[in-house]
Formats: sequence, structure tokens, C-alpha cells
Amino acid sequence: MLRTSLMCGAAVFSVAVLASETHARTIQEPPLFASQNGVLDLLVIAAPQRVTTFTAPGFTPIGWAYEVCTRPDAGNVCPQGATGLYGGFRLGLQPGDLLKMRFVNQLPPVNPAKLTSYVYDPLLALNPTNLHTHGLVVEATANTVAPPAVPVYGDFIFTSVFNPANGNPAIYSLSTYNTLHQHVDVIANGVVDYRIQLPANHPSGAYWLHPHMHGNAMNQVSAGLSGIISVGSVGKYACYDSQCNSRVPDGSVRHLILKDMQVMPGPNGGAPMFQEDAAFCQATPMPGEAVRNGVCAGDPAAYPHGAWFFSVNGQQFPTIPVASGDGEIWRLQNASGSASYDIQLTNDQTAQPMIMQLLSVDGVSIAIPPGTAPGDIVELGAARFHFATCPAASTTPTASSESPPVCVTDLVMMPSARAEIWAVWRGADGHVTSAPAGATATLRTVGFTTGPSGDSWPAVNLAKVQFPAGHAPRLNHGALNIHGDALATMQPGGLFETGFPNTPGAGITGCKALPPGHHRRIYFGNPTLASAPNTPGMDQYGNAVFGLGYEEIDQNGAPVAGTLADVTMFNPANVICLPLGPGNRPVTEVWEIINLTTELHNFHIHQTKFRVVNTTAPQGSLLSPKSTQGGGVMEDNVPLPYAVPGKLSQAVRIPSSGSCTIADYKAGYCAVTPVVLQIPFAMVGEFVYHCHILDHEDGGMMHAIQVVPSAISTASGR
Amino acid sequence: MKYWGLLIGACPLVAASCGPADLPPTLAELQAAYAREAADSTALHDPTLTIVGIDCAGTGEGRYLCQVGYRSARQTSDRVYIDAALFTRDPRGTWTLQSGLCRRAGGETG
Ligand SMILES: [Cu+2]
Repeated sequence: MLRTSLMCGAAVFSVAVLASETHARTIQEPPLFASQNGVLDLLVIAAPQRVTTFTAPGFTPIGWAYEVCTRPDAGNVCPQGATGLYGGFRLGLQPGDLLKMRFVNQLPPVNPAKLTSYVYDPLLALNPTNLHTHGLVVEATANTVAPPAVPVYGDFIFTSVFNPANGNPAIYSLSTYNTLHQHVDVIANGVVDYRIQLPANHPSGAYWLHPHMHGNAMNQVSAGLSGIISVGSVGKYACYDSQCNSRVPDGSVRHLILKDMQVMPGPNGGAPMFQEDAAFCQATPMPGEAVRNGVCAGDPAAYPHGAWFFSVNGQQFPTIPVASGDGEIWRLQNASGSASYDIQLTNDQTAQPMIMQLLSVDGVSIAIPPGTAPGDIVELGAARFHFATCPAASTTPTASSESPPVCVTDLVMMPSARAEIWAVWRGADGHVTSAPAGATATLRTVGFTTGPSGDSWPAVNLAKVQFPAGHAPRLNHGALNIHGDALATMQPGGLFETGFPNTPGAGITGCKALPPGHHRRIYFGNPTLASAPNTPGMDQYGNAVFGLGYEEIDQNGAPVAGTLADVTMFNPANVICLPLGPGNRPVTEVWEIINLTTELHNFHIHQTKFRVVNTTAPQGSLLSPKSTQGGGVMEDNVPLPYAVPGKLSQAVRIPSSGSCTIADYKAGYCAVTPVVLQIPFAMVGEFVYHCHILDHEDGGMMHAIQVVPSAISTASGR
Repeated sequence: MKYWGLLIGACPLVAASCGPADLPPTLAELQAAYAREAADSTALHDPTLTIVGIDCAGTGEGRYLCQVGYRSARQTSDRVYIDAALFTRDPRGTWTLQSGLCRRAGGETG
């Protein structure tokens, strides 16, 4: 469900107006900024950026992107010709590195008509922003330095950096200003510093960087503001052979950033919509519509002659030349504000989806113990993948210590998701084999629908893939041999077992650990606002609203009296607090996430990773919360299956609500599919958990959480 | 930083309003202004707030926009909150907090 209804009526599709150039361009890797001697020190400027890589005629819109350069000795200006690309960039880090960023906001103001949250926070029109390093397991430390020094943050999102050229927020009316500044720092002069220390035992893999300003995050991400981060080396966990004599080199890794932008035609290259309306295009091409190579045509009624670009590294339908018969490691990043992808690699000769070996999820390489039941792997993947039998598994014996390979045909990628796959030519039977001359495939999303009250994200071809003819010289094993960090994080010395020497001191009074055997239950729902009591799930302006609820459950499965908080929109004053364990070691909790709505949401939590578990699984199973045999799959975002409402539920009585209530659920009026997660907390700070469909996050589906050192925890309270 | 520099740099062009009387406020003056505001409307303020750093620039007619850092005595950490605030000075030289620093429009607590 989108917050604002931007179009109505049935669409009548005309023949597509967009003719993209037929010759695709070779894909470019995102520019790399690599750390040296343990430090990466950058200047990052958020600024308008013209997109010149869309090949559909007439579309060179001005989006927003990060300009990045090595931090100059003085001033906040990058040298001319510095990297400033819509397609993004890559920060190359190693475990134990220090990431320093001087961050400057030079974004233009926003048309309030583009901001659904303008009614709640008019200052969003000044386009404040900030940075979040998504997926990194690092501290979320607040600022401790006083003006006139520039504030310094860890991966901390409770700050708002204003571009002074757009006006100072303090000059606006009190009621306007107070909405904003009560609970976030307000930086009026446009400059802050980030100082983010990676643990020495941080997993190696793919992460990303994006704005996290509540109320306009969707607008800013959809305009192009994001980049990616890589940690460590792929050879740490991936080998060509069973003995790991031949490790996969970093040069075989390709980074693929999936961004989309909705643009209406007009002078000056067209106007970006700064939105994510799933109905901008039809879900699948209509008869007569041009092949959707990196673009689909705007709905003729609502978006006449508009174009919705789906780019890879900012390029519209590039060609990906696979460099070697050994294939390549692809790291895919869904950098969309709200769109979901169902990714396939389709063999152009057979039109069938090719099998892909899955190596890593959300930046952590997987660790599946030998003998794990296929059904358990499916459950661990939590609907993010369509699993397939790896052909190599039946023909190639694996060493006893080796994870069996995991293969997929589809990667369901909701917003923020990362997946790492091995892209290699396979014959019709799925085995890795020599590619014939001219072998090609198409990387595409086949379209994805998020439920009865959800959205239908369109099917679009993303890139043409060319495989080199000839055999795989280094591969003698039929599958890559993966020694996943997901296991290493849980072993002695691992990030979630041993922890991190956290910054001491930060904390609040009234913070106590969850009692043994208890778990937290989080409800995803559409709240009923006091200002609009007769329209559940909608505010007084007719926009959809989203929220989260809370309850603590005891060891017998009974709710703990006094802990229930109904579904409400984000209020940063409400904070879940928990202390680290004795000696500030990590604390692991079980969270049960219940989706009360009739559409998919995507649970994400900062500063950690989690595992899908099943509390009824036997202790020997990888799915058991007590499992010690492997991490399996560690994630930082997971789809939440939607509810099936009964006829007495709010969702049926008032369909526009799109949601059951907590009372409906407790009365048995609403069938839900809880997702149970084991979440280790190793990092102190103030951070959030939320739906990563950013339209929903901006609409209120977020909650604050604080982790404090163990020593200062006192009293009780949530 | 650039913004404040521009504003201060503009001062010589309107020299008549940039005499000694237009000196920016001191930290002590802003703390006093905050204390007066808190005393006038205690329900609207966290009375434990201590200003620890300022960065101010005049916009003319006795108005100053300040980036203000403060600590709360209720906080055990060394966290410094940052806020944008507008202060004005009356002809007698008394500073008044107009917005920012957790001043509330009315009724709300916090
Ligand atoms: Cu959602």
C-alpha cells in the first residue's frame, strides 16, 4: 500500500512511447574508494546530479547523488572532476578499519507536494538528510563534541543535517520547528562528521550507505542517494576447490547496484518524481509495449509519456561481459526506495531461469552444515529465495567440513536486500559447463506483488549477460566451496560471541535485560489515529499510515502484563532498551515478528544481523535457537508474510484499513505467520528497527531501540 | 561554516547596524536567556539543560541564529545534543530565546 494515492481508475495501455537505444553499453564498476593503512577518510557531499546514463531519448533528469572524494586537507569542496555519479560508488573497507566521512548537505529544497510527511513535518521541504551504513555491525554513538566544532557521530540516525542555502530551521514557526527538533539533533550549517569503527572480526561482504531521515528517506533514496560498501575479501570464504588451494580473487567480484527512478518528460531532461508509485507502469508489459530493457513506459492515464528507469550501476540495460569461464561473483544490491525485485538470470536460448549458487546474504556468507535438510534451508531463507537442487551436489563429493552448496533460481529482493551469487554458464541440466559461442542470458526482475493490499512491482529486463566460450580453467569442483562467516560470527572470537570493546558510558536510567526465556513480540500494522478514529490505517488527510506495536512474552508463551503497546506511528520518545551482557559481551534475544496487515513488509534492524529460527525445532536442528552447529543464513532484512483476515477482523470489516488489529489477532479473527528471529546485540548506541519499504518507514513503521553497557543498567522498564 | 561566514562577512556592507552593540551573544548570555525562558514556562523545558558550546551569526536587527550544543543533567553520558536556535536582543541588551532548545509551542511536555 502506498501512502498517497497518486492515480486512480483502470489503466488503458497504449503502445509504449519509449524506444531505448538498441546497443547496450558495457557495464561500469562503481568507482572504488579503498582504505589505506586501516583508514578511509572521505568527503561526501549530497548534491543534485544530472543522470546522463539513461539511453531513452529525452531523459537526462537531475537526480540527487553523493559526490565523493578523498578528504582534502582543507575545506569542504571536492576537486573538479571528483566522483559524483547517480550510479553510486563503493567504499572498500577491511575488518578493523576506521571509516571517516566529512558529510555535507547541498541538496535543493523539495516541492512539498512530493512529501507525504509534509503535513507532519513541514521542515522536510528544506530537505534535511543524514547517513546510515546499512548492515555494518558498528556502534550507533551520539555526538560528544560542542560547537563550534563539527559534530561527530557513529552510525547514528537521530540527526538532521540542513543545507544552509535552503534556510535555517530555527526561523520557522515554533509549532513547525518543534515537530522536528524534539528528538533529533538539528545541524543548521550543513556539515557533520561520521567516525565509524569496524570490528576486527566483522564479516566480509556487501553493505551499503543511504540517507535515513525520517519522513523523506524514500524521496532521497529514490532520487539516487546511495552507495555501497564492501568489507574484506571474497577469498576469505570462497574457493574454487574442495581443499581451498585456489581462493576466489577479489577481481572476480562484480558489484551490481539496482536503482530505479520515475521521470516525467519535460524540458531540461525531464522531471524526477522523487516517489515510488508501483502503478507508474503496468506490472507486466501490455501487448504492443516495447521490450522493457531497463525502462517501462508510464501509465498513459496517470503518467503519460513518463518513464520508470531500472538501472544497474546507474546504467540503463547495460551489457555484463562475464570475464572468465570460471564465472563471476555478483553482489546484488536493491537500492530502491520501495520497489521489490524477483531476480532471475534467464538463459536467452532456452528462456528458462538459470540456477545460481547462493554464496552470501546481506553481507554474511552462508554456513550450512553438511546434512542439513532442504526444508530447513528453505525455512532459513524465509521466502527470500526459490531454492533449487545444486546439480554439483549430487555428483561431487564434498569434504566433511564443507558446507553443501545452496542453489536458487530466484532472488526475492525487497528494499535494502543484498545477495551474492556465482554467475557461471550452466547447461540445460544445470551443471557448470563450457559455454557455446554467443551464449547470453538476461538479468531481469519478473515482477513481484506484495499482497492483497500491497503493490505490484513491475517486470523489467535489467542487463544483458554475455558468457565467454570455453571451459572453466580453475574450477574442478562443480560448485564454489563456501566457508561462511555466518558460522564464524557465533564461534569463540566471533563478533556475536565475543563482541566488541564498546565505547563505555553511554546510557539511560531504567534499562533492564529481558528475563531468561522471555521474548519480544513486534506487531506490524496500520494504526488508528486519534485524529482520524473512523478511518483505521489512514490519517485525517486520507493518507495511509503505518506503525509498530509491542509486547513481551514469558517463557510459557503468555503476555507479560503491562507490556502491551498498541500499533502506533514512530515516536522517537518510545525506546526499547537493553543492556549488554556481563563484561559487555553480546546478548542474544528472540523476537517474534507478526504482520497484521494484508501486504508484505520487510523487517530491518540496525547494528546487527539475525537468524530465522523455529522455537519448536529440535536442538540438533540449525533452526533451533540453541543451535551451535552453524549460523546458517544471517540477514539484516526479512520479508514478513501477510495476514489472512477472518470475516470478523478489521481488515474485512473495513477493507481500506489494510490491517487486522492486535485485538483481532488475540481473538482469533486473523491468521498470521509469525517470523521468529534470533538477534544478537553486540553494539551500544541508539538506533532503530523498521520496515525497509521506505514509504512505510517514512509513514511511521519504525521504532527506537537503545543498547547500553551492562554496568550502568538499573531499574526496570521498556 | 560557509553560511555563517557569508553572513558575518556581509556586516561591513551595512556598517550602521554592525557596531559594538551587535556583538554576538556569549555562551553565558544564552544560558541566562534559556534560564529565563525555562523559569517563565517550566512545563515547556527540561530545566537540567546546560549549554556547552555555541556558534552564532547575526542576521541583522539584533537577531542571531546559533548552533547550540547542550548537555542534560539527566543524562549520564557525555552526549552533546545539537540544536539550531534563534535569539533576539532587545535595546537594553537582554537576550531572548525565540525558538529551539526544546522550547515548546504550548501544552506539550518534553
Ligand atoms: Cu512495510
